[in-house]
Amino acid sequence: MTYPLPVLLLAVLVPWLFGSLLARWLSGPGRSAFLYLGQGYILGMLAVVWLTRTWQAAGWSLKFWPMAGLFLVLSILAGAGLLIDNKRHNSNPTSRPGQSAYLWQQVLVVLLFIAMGAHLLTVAQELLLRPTFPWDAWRGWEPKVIQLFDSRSLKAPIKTIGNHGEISTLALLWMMLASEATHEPFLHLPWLAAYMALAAMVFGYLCDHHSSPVAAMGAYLVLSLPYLNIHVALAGYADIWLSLAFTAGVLALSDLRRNNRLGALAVALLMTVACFQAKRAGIGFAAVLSTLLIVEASLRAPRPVGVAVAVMSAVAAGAVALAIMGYQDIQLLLPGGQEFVVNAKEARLPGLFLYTFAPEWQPGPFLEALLGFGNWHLTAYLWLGAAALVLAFRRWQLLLQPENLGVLIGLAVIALYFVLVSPGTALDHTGLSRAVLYVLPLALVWLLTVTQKLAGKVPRNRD
Amino acid sequence: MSTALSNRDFIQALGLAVTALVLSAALLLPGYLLLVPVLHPEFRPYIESERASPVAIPGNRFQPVVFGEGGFEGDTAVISALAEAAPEDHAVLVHRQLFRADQFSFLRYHIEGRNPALRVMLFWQREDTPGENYFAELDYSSEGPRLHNLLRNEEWRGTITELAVGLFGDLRGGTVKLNSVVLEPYSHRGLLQAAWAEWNAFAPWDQSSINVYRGVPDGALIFPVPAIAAWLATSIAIILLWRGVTRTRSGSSRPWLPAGIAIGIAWAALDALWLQQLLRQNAETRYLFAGTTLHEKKLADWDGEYYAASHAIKDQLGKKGGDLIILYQTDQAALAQRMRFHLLPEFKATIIRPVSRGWVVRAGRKFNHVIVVSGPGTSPASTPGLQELLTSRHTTQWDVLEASGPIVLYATNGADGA
Repeated sequence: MTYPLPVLLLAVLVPWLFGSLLARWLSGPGRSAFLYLGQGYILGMLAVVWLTRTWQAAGWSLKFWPMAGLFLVLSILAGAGLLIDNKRHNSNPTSRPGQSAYLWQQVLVVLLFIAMGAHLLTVAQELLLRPTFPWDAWRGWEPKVIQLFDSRSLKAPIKTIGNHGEISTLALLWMMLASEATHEPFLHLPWLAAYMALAAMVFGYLCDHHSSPVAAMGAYLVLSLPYLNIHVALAGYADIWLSLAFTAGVLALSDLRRNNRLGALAVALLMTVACFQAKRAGIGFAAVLSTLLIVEASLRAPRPVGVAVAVMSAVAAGAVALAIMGYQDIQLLLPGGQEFVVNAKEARLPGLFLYTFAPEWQPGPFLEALLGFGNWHLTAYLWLGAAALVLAFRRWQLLLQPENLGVLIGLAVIALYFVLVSPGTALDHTGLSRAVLYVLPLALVWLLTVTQKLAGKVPRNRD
Repeated sequence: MSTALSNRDFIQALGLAVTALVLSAALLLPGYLLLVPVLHPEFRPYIESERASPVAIPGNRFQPVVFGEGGFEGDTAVISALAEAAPEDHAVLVHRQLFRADQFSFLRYHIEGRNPALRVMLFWQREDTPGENYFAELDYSSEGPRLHNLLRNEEWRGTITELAVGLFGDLRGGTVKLNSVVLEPYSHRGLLQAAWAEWNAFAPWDQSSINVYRGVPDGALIFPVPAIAAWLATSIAIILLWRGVTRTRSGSSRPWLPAGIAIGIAWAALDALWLQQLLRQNAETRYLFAGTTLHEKKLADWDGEYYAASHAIKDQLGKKGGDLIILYQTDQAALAQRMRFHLLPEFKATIIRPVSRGWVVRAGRKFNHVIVVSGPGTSPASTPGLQELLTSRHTTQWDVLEASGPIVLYATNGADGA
């Protein structure tokens, strides 16, 4: 059987188009097209999830062409709406005054794009040639999706994976519906697209605030991360979706702090949902995004409200900490009869998560994963170096930028999980590096923006 | 805000960055070598003792004891076919000579014709534990002589009575030439060459690759990332020192540019090492999968014999599909799940369990078809434990429909209905 390339490209591009138009509407005019593309892909995948669930709830058999047709109709409507909106407000895309680049900057950008191309091509070749390879993909995720495809529904009678992540399963199902194939390597094209979207989003975000060489540097640094390369090349896991969603959410919060645009808030909220739907670990990162949202809201609220929120948050966090340390038990009855329980042995919310605590503090694996192994090149060192510079220059407020708060709180969640719940998977490195993937693209964005500020390229009042 | 940096500014900053990196390397390398007794205490006896002369052993001094086809060409031992064996085809060449392990910390080996599917192992025996084999894997990177740190294995000690080189895996139609091995005493040059060889060592991706990328083999002397970080940190310190000494004040952003360039060069150095690995992996992936159909890809994959068996089962049972049960030899759960993956979507292995008397009985009652899985290179009929259960009274009505290496498909002829 031959699989027409146009169908595969359509399957990748249709949700991407819809998502990018949605991103353009939410993030507003005048931003970099790459930002829209980067946000657009994860928004598009979220739309695939919701469309599939809605289609199933309506009792219809899952079919690619009607669903793709609906995406195209929605895209046309969204595009028309944007055009009308543009005309009504007479808004032209604002562009920063052109700066003629010196030869060295042009050469640098060209070299960076060549390097990015090298990474993209090598990773793409692996992804397109190799049949499904990594353990959890062939053991759990893909057998589930093949069953969904076979039944053209969201029913998988054989339980092969307990993880509730939906984005990677339904992204794969979407490709199966389009191509009518179940085992071909090209079904993993969404992973390649997610990789490109992550780089595009970083490029677009940095382009809006800094020069092209800085933006190209950021995209290259992300694309060149060895662990990310391997994760995409050996496609099938859900972690890149969580990384993409979390990065998009935090960068949206950073936009919110800068320009108070409600659309940015909407993107952040949608990414909180996307984190939740990416995989079970996304619950923690949805909580991180929610925490950052509360921080942003508190900064805008009247001081008494902000103080009250801070106090309540500290009390809640303290109560959970005391429960985990065994000083008390928390049992909260929620609407629907579910009970949220936290004590020294476990944290559970039936139907959502059950974490059994087996605490073991072993700093070695964290140091190895971040500072020793080849996973991230020099990212951790540069991030620590940037933090040290911020402290040395006494620009403390730079540490509180949303990007860095995302990294700090994200690393705290990762540390808590691997200390309290799963120290074994930190010790043998079967889970730790994948978790660190969620925060390190943000670390790269932050360290580039901070060094630009410290170097005097951005006015202080734009901290 | 600072003014834009001209091309001249960039060239000056580049010059400063490169100079700082060179100076940094000039400082760090001797410093590292001085600190070897502290950083790598296992080398201390080798550094402190009198250096022995290297012992060169040409390939023709190794006697092939297990091989398919081979011989000698001048000083070189040549293996053109491995001996067929389970679990891996292999060849072994042995050299007997007495020497003290505490005199030699490095092995320089020159082996041509390697490929990523062929593992090369160094074996040795010791006088104090006769008959016991110790081993270390010789990293694969490229053709040409390479250095191996013998102290990666703590069993390299005492009096060595025998050295052997083992080739395991697949020659892929090629010929392996063992030109020579040289036992070398400790030297600074040897240490650096061994570390560099470890940084360039390549192993094709395996099931652990999705979890972490270490960058060097287990037991390597030094990880590249902290080494490059130290190189970078020292160079940035030199740049700052130079700035302090020369008090350059022509722009507030200027001190940042040489540091930024140094960071870029350091990152690019690590990325070059990584891209080298990625390109080698690409070459291996192309060799296995390029220009092939899905069926051919899966046959060439790491569990090809299991895919071939699932393909045969689908042919045997026809396209209408159905439910079945997979029973597997203990410790082969992963391969049983792999079978389930290959059999989808037509056939759904609704239950996967280790073989036991209870499950053999239940399988016979509830399923029309049972698949039994044993380990690679074996067969259920010849696997102790499985053999007894599959020839017991509970399976007298079972018929073998398909037997393909480690997989057997049975019709139970007596199921109540699956």
